[in-house]
Formats: sequence, C-alpha cells, structure tokens
Amino acid sequence: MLYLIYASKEAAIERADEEGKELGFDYWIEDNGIGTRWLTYPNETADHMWALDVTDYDLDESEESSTVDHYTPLPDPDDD
Amino acid sequence: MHVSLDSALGRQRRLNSVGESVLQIAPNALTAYSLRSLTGGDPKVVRVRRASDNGEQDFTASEVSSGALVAFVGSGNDGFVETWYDQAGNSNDVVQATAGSQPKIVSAGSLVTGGLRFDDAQKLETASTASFGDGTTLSTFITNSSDGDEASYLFRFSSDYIIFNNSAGLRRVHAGISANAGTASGSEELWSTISTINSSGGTTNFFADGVLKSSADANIGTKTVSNRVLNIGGSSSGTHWNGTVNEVIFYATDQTSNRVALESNIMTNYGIS
Repeated sequence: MLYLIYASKEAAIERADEEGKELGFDYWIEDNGIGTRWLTYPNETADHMWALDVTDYDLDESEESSTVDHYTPLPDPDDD
Repeated sequence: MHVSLDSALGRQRRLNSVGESVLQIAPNALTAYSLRSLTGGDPKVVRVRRASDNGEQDFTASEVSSGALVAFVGSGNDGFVETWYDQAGNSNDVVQATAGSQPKIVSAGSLVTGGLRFDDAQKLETASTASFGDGTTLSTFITNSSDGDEASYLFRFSSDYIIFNNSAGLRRVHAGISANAGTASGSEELWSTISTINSSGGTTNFFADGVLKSSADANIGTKTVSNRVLNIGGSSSGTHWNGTVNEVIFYATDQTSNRVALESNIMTNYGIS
C-alpha cells in the first residue's frame, strides 16, 4: 500500500476529491450530492496527520516521491 | 372462556405468516435492509456502482431478482453497494461514498451468494444518529454468513451496542461486556437478538436459526446507546466484518411475540433450516 501524508484532513479530502472527479464517480457527475465520491478516504494517524491510501491513484512525480508504505493509525475511539 | 374475534384472527395471522411480508408480520421496524421486498410491494432496495465505468443506478427488489442489476453491472464485471435503502419507511439508508469501502454485490458478473460481501474493509452507515435509553428493548434479525476467522463487527451503534463474532468465531452481543451465543457455523445463519439495554445491567437472548444459543437473559453490561450512527460492517481494519449479509431488520421494541413468525418468514426465504 502507498500513502500520502497530509497535515490536515481538508487537504487530504481535496486530493481524494480530485481523484474522484478524475474517475468519474457519480457524485461529481450528477451534482446532486448522491453517489460514490471518493476512491479512498483519509484516516488520522497516531501523530494527528492524515494518511490517504493512494495505491490506485494516478500520481504526479512530486506525489510519487512523497509516498510512504505504512503509517501508524490513530486508535479508533469507537473500539474501546 | 371468551376469545374475541380480533384476538383469534390476530393469533391466526401469527401462525400463518406464509405470504405476508416481514413488515406486514411486524410493522414499525426502525430500519430494514434486504435485496428482497420486506414491504410486500416493490421498493427501491439498493444503489449499485459498477466497477467498469463507475456508473451508478438504483434497483428495486424485482429488478434485483429479474437480473436487471446483474445486466447493469455487465458480464464478468464487479458491482458494489453505494446505498442499501431502508425499507422501513424511515429514510435510515446506510451509505458508503468511498469506493474502496463498499461491500460487493456482484462478482465477475454474478450476484454474490449470501447478499453483500464484506471483506475486512467495508462498512455502511446511516447519516443520522440514534439514542436508546434505559429499559429499551432492541430486536434484530440478521441473515448472515461469518468467515469466523477474526473478531469482526456485524451490527453496531459504536461501542455502545455491538453484535459480532470474536476471533474464535463465537457469536456475541456486547453493551459493555459480551454475552456468548455459541460458535458461528460458517454457513448462512439467522441471528435473532432481543436485548434490553440498561445502565444498571442489560440482558440479551440470542437465537441462531430460531434456537436460543446464549444463556437466557444473558448479561451484556451497563451501556445504553447515546447519539450513535448505525453501522453495518465495523469500523477499523481489526474489526471489519468478514462474511456476507443478506438482510438486517431492526426494531427498537420488543419483538418477542413476533419472533417465531419473523424467523419462519426469513428462514423459509433463504432456505435456512
């Protein structure tokens, strides 16, 4: 798996939105707030950054050089 | 002895449920998800994304059974569930907008056996939250097949109330502590749970295929449900459901009096004995 690490959730979602548009997901085509929007969604890391799984993304050169192959997820507060 | 006509007819309805839909046998479900009609009509049941071009479409129960859904996905292709529509009439649809987290419904051009396939990374959730206080009885009827190979959450309101199997394949209900209900068979099963949650100590009765598998009124702990979304399939990689789900019917009321009739309907439909 390949991940890009973002400082904010908003920045990670912006990249996920970009890929979702590229893939032609229904959310972006119908423009009615319904349907698939993202290929992957960011998860918070243990150090409060945001990891986006970009394994199947079309990355540019800058992004390719910035990927990491693992991260430590923030423990799920629901899993207590 | 006096027996009123109404009560006599009511009793007859419970005994002869063949031909009645689930929601005719026991109306007022809070949520009800299936690929068949639970209403007796032909409701919209699922929204599917096909992997070939990411096109999406809604399907009714008859369009699922007629092959229209499979035709939409296309020969040899995979299809995934974006929305599982609530047939209870409360608009509590469970949704997944992230493609990589959508359960599979069509695999290589054929409907998945067992309904929706959750493979350790999928989940569906309501947008709205629910709260259930002391003394509320929660009745669930879930047709599923568990891989039973790791702890995996099937139905839950966050950590407040969870129906799952543990890493040893034990069926469990949890509202603070877990009540065991035997080991999942790995084949399709109907899990019926009737639980009363209470901050001073809740209890459950867990039936598999109509047979009580937990202790009677087993202790499930002291949690109530506070402002939680309904989740089908789990939350993290360690607790995602591994297996299939054909149907989830949920009442925030005690359905003990309807349990046998509901189980008969469901088990007959899915060929569970």
